[in-house]
Amino acid sequence: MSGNVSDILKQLDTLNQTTGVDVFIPSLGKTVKFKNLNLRQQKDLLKASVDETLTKLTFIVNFYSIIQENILDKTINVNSLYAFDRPAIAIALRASGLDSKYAIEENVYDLNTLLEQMPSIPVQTQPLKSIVDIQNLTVSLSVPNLNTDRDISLVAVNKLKNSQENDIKTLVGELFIHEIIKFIQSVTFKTETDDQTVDFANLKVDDKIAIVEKFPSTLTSKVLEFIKGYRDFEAKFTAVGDANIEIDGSFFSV
Amino acid sequence: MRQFVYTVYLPGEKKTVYIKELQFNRYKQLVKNITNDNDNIIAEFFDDLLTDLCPDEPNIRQFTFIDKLIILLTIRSVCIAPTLELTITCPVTQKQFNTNLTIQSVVDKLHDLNLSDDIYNKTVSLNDSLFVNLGMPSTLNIQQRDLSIVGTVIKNIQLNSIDVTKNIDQIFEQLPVTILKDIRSYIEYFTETLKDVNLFSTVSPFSTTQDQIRVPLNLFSNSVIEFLKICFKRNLLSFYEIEYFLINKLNIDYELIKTSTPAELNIYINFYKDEKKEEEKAEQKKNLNLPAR
Repeated sequence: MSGNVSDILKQLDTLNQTTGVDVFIPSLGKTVKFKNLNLRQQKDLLKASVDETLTKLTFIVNFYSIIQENILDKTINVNSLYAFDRPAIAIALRASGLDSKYAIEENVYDLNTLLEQMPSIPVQTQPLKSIVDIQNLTVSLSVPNLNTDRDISLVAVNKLKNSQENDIKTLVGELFIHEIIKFIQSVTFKTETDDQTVDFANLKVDDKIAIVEKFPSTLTSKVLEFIKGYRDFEAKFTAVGDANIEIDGSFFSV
Repeated sequence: MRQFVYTVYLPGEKKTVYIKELQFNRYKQLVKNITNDNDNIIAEFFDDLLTDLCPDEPNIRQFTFIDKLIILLTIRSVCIAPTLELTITCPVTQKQFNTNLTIQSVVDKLHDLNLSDDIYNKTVSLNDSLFVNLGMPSTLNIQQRDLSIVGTVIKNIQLNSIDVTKNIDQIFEQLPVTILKDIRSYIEYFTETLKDVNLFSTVSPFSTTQDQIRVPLNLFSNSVIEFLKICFKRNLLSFYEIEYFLINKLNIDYELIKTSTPAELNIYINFYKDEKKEEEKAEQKKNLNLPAR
């Protein structure tokens, strides 16, 4: 090996691959090999955690890139993975590369114990997909894939990063609406003559928002009910004792 | 002809080094920088000073910060003054009091630390292919408590038996975080070992508690560079007053002023003061011996 920088980087990449970590992916129900994090990735995660308002969204954006970069089984399409796979991957990479101990207030938890329990958490259709019918509207709901979650989060971050701190009402409203549209797959408008279905995958974020803003409040409540059910499911992957681990950039600060 | 040199033992390097004198003009430049109060520039100035005053040590910039501190304090003690006069504000009563610190006592304390070898040199490895050699930081000033701290303790990196240390800036961020875990442990060990060492400590005469006012030897809290600034700080105007006085009153050539140490210039000033005192005494005696009218 020569002392050339690109050669050295290749060697480091090989080293990162050979010291890879086994990560259980809940949606696939199997273990997949990942490269460990490198210092740049950790630094990017920590930097993103500085802006507290948008920390969750920036984490979703950054961590998507890390998953794409670090997954070693290239036969797996990262875009087919789900949002609840993210905490499983984050906890495994944190435990393997940085520290398997995690403290919440005065209690210290072993992340390896949590990782061992993950395969036994049942992944069923019920909290992951649903159809809601209200009046002449049918809304198809689904837990977002990682790319959908990332794309909408990125739009939200770009929109909101310059918003003023005192504009908190706007901020909360924007975060709320962007969160809702992540879970909508399609909306069908039923008329007496025919049904018209709008596939959200083909819409721009602002068009999705424009449609959701016209939803009757009863429909919005049903969507929120679904999201809450999903969040309860997702929380099983981060539950330690009576607490839950907050998975964002600060989780990688040790 | 070799200039006058003095020596000091460095525990990190495990050897004695020769030091040249700090000349008045160089000290004035240092004080200008301290007055300007940019810690990065001050730390850089100290490194340049060490390079120039210890010409037999080509690797002096890589010496540990404790070794550098020992040399700088020795320079302070020999070339400026052996004691440091401090005015301290009592944290309880806010009253001020004066105290003196003998610089040599700080140097002695640093000599007596008896740090174990693994503080100076520790190697961490990954998969038998990446070896990172760690050691005490060389820099006198660490401002950020982030990942850049990690870079300050990395002395050498071997990847697949090749030394890649010179490429550290390009490869640093690509290092696996697993190695960071070991580096962090070293930094914690290093910090823990030095946490109770004080460069200076005293108790306020006004306070009823025995709580110490102290300057810890903590590189990560800026206390080292702050302590050095205190040791070398002086009113900038006083340099111009000294120059004015020595040139106008004592007719000393500016070349001599520039190349003398501050301590030597003090000797000239003290000679002048003594001479004046003698003259005043003689004058008083003459007046006393005058016959009354």
